[in-house]
Amino acid sequence: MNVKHLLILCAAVFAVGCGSGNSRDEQANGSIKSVDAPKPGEEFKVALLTPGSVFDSGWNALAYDGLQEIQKQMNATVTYKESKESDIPDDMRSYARHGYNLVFGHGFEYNKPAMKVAKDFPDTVFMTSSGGETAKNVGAFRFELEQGFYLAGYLAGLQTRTGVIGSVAVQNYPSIVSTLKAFEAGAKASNPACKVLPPVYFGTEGDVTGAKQATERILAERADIVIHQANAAAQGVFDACKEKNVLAFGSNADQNSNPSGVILGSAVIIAKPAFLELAKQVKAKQFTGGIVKFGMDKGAIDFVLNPKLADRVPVDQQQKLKTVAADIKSGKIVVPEDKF
Amino acid sequence: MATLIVDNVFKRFGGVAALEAVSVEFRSGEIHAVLGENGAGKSTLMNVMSGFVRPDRGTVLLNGTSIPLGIAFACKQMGIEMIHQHFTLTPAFSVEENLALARLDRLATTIDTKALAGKALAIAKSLEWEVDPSARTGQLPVGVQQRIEILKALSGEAEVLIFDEPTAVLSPSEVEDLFRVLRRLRDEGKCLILIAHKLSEVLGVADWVTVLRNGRVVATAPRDEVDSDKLAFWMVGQMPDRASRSDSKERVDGLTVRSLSIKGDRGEASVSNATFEIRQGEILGFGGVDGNGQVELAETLAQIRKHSSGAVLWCGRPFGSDLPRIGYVPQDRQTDGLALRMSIRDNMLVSALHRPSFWSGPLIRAKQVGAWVDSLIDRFSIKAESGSDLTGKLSGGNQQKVIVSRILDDEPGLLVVLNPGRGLDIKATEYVYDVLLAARDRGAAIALFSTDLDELYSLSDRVLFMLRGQLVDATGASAMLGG
Amino acid sequence: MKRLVGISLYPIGLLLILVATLAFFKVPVRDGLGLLYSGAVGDRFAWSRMAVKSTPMLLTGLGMVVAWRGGIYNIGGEGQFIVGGIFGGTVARFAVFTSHPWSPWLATSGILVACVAGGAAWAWLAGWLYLRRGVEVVISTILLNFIALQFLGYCCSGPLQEKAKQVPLTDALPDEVMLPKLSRQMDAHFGVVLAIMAALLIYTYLFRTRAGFRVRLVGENPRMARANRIDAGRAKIQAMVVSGALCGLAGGIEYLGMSGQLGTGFSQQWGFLGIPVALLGGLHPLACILSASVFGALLAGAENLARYTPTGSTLVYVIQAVAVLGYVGIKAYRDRLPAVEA
Repeated sequence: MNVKHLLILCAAVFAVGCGSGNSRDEQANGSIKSVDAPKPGEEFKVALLTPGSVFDSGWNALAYDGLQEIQKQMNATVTYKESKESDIPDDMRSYARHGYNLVFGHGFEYNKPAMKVAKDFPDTVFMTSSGGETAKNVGAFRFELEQGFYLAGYLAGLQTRTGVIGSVAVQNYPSIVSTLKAFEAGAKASNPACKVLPPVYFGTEGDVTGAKQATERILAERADIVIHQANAAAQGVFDACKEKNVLAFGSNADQNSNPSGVILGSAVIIAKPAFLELAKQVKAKQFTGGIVKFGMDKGAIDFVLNPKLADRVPVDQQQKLKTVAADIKSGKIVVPEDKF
Repeated sequence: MATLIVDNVFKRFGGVAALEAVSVEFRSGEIHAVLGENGAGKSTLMNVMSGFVRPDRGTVLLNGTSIPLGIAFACKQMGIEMIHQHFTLTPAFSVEENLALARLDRLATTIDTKALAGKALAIAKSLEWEVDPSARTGQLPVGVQQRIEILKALSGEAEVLIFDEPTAVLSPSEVEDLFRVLRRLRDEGKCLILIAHKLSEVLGVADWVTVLRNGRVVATAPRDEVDSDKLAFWMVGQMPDRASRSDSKERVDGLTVRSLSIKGDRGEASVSNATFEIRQGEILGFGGVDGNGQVELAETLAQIRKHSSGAVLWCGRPFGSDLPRIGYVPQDRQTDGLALRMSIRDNMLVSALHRPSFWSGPLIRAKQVGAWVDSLIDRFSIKAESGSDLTGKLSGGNQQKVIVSRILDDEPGLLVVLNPGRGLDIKATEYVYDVLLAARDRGAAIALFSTDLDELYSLSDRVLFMLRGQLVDATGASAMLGG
Repeated sequence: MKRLVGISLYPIGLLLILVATLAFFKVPVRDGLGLLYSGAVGDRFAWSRMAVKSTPMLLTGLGMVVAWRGGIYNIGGEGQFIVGGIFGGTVARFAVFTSHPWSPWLATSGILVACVAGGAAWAWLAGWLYLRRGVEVVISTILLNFIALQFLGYCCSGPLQEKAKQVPLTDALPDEVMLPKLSRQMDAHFGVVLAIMAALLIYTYLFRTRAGFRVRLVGENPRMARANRIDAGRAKIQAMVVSGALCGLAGGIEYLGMSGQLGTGFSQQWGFLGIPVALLGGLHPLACILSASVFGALLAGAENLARYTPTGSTLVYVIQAVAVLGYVGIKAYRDRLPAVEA
């Protein structure tokens, strides 16, 4: 091995390191996973597969919160893992073989692998967050986040000064596209003249710089309110908004306290009760497949104004918002949802 | 005043004994030559003395203290310097930088090349050598590069100077100058050790001679008590007998070169307007000092380099895919002749890629090739354990034999040979000369490029000289060589 | 004996590295090692997982071996892997997802051949740039990696996107087109066999054929090759094309054996991971089987570790990097030991 080889080797190791460096969950919070060897018995075991780091304060974090809730309330053994592409079926099988009763796949992409794997493991229930196919031991639950986005859009329509608003997202996943459509519908409902820019997708999970650049493109078109589906890269969106001194909405989790101080409100999923409810069904062997919807009516979706910026929203606007929220809850307003 | 004593040193490489119970004493104020055939152990002994090789047993004492065996840098600091056959210069550096580099004893320091190189340049002046400090080292002729190598050693106040085959690459006038300097250094009280195999040169300069054979000391004697016959007998056991040259009667048309001009690597005109012919069964010698266009011309004849104008014809026609088979023995065997990290077998196979008997389709016939390699090793008495030995581990002479054997066994119609005897001992040289002559008698046209006049005249049917890219005959050349 | 001690340094060293890394990330060491072991070779599922993880690395590693042996430093295995996949995906579009699909067997072979061709073409491009335009291969292949990745992104949300046009993925191949599997519960597929066959084939190519000999010679000493009128450029291009073909094959086998569809995460660094595999295998095709298995075991073990402990999957790359550095260190140490007598 000569010097040149070594140099290239180091470069390669570096490249691999960089390429995979966007998950930062090693040391954090070592308590919740247990290093148990599988043991037989009545113990209730739940695993969670996520598409990204569970510490993203967004989509993945809320599933993680749900998992923690299950551990706490049901005294269950829980574990979680990031799982992508061809790792998914193997991870599912491994958990099933180790006697896990419930395996959550937190995204629509887990739906098809779950259908395949579930055939071999009838005693394990596979539950995916969104996704269309179900079986006796395969279920999908769906958070109607569209409702929260509709409310955010409604407020954006009232608040915009330039009359232009926009959105930034990781990818055009169907679940994401559906929420962004709801955002547009909400804006048009409060302000038909409002211009909603087409969503900008930056492509890579966790790419903060990409998210920032995407946001800058929207702001360059005079948008003054931005909503995002950027997950772990959300900080890029907020930073761009702060630089241009415009407002943003948080999504999935309550991001109002973000230090950038630009968040007017967040469209949130309150996942804990949903996860807990499903786990209880499974433990009681009452689950028989199918798609379960969780919306504002079940308290799983909400839109939360940032109390620090609440003075920017006049009382009449706040009142309107409350009315619309109540209408959605009662079913008087049906927020459009894509099928996927 | 320094004395270097080698005491009962043993060294084995793999299963081969390179040195066995070797004891020699080198004294200051003397030029002590170490003679031996290829593989006799000269290089190993030298490497032991200069700290590049750690012996299995035995010690080396400098002025009564044991030298740090196997630690070259420490040996150097004690005053033992080695002038390598393959120079240890950085080609891209200027002369001054190379000289300064040798005096650099640690890395974390600012560097004043002028000051560091100053002493060496002063020594150069005192030795009446003209050295341009700003010249790029790699572009200098080998003779000058060697001077820089020697200056590097002298500037470190070395007491013991070990020269590895210093004359191998030099022209006769350069050799004379080197000997002048060696004698002067001796008179200044240095201890000079000369590794060599050209008997005449050794006898011309040495005060003492030690002969090694098969890793053992055969004899150590003062110069006055030996002559070349005796030394040759010590070295090889019997005096070699040059095969007499048979003049072939019929001479067939072979290589014709007309108004050939060639550009060098940097686009400079390196050969201009050369016209000559070499008939089949003839050796045409090209003499002259290195760097006058020999390599470029040789490469063009061997169809490796393109020429810029003129014609190179074989039997009156341009070179085709069929004829002639070309054999090329390059000047620098380590860079152009061999892949040092590949086996003897692979290095020989290079010349047999076109032989149908060794291949079935694209696949090699390992058995046939193995037998062929073994036969070459045997016929050319290459010292190796087997054909799978790496060529980089062979001694210089055996490396040359690998090249020459594979090429001559291919029975080339046109042979282009550069310094075939360079660095070879008597036996090997004789052998190579004999096979060259045999190839000629078989009908090969041979272009022999050599800086060694002995070699040139003993082999060639006709001799031309090269001077700045021009061909001149012997009378024109004598002026240029300075008689 | 000394030699044995020397060689045993490697597994011992690896163990120490694993222990140190686990301790550093605060994973209980005994449990951690147990999980690594059971994930890598603990049962037949683990073996299957290890084989499946080793396979793409073995192939890209072989690709690096051929190119580097030829003195051409291809580090574009990643790009060639991806372009192979894209070519395969394109053929799949016409062979599988049409109204008149080809017979499964034909479709599988067609896709595989396309993958090989795609990888080869991508590598050829770098070789051509080097020979005709003097662009350093190290640089061009890195850049071509980026281009390939972007191109994959475009294809997956453009011409090759699945029918519903919802997700940036291609349609999933039906099971009958996928490579045959050992069992439904295991991922081990026929590609594992193909990869080992490729290793044997590459060994034969390098050490038993004229073309491979030329490649090695040009890599060892281009000046000597020149002096023997061997066309170094041709040999290098050939090495590059074979190298790319292997990386493309790796892509094809991953596509047909594992993923069944293309997305931006199609190559999980397999092209890059081939480099340490090749180097740890001493640039020898058969030794690469071993080094790829070691890395495969590490990956499979670390996956298992990630399943049941709070470590992220990043840990595996840490272990791998430390292992490579450790190997280099031990090798340097061994090289300094006095020569071992026969």
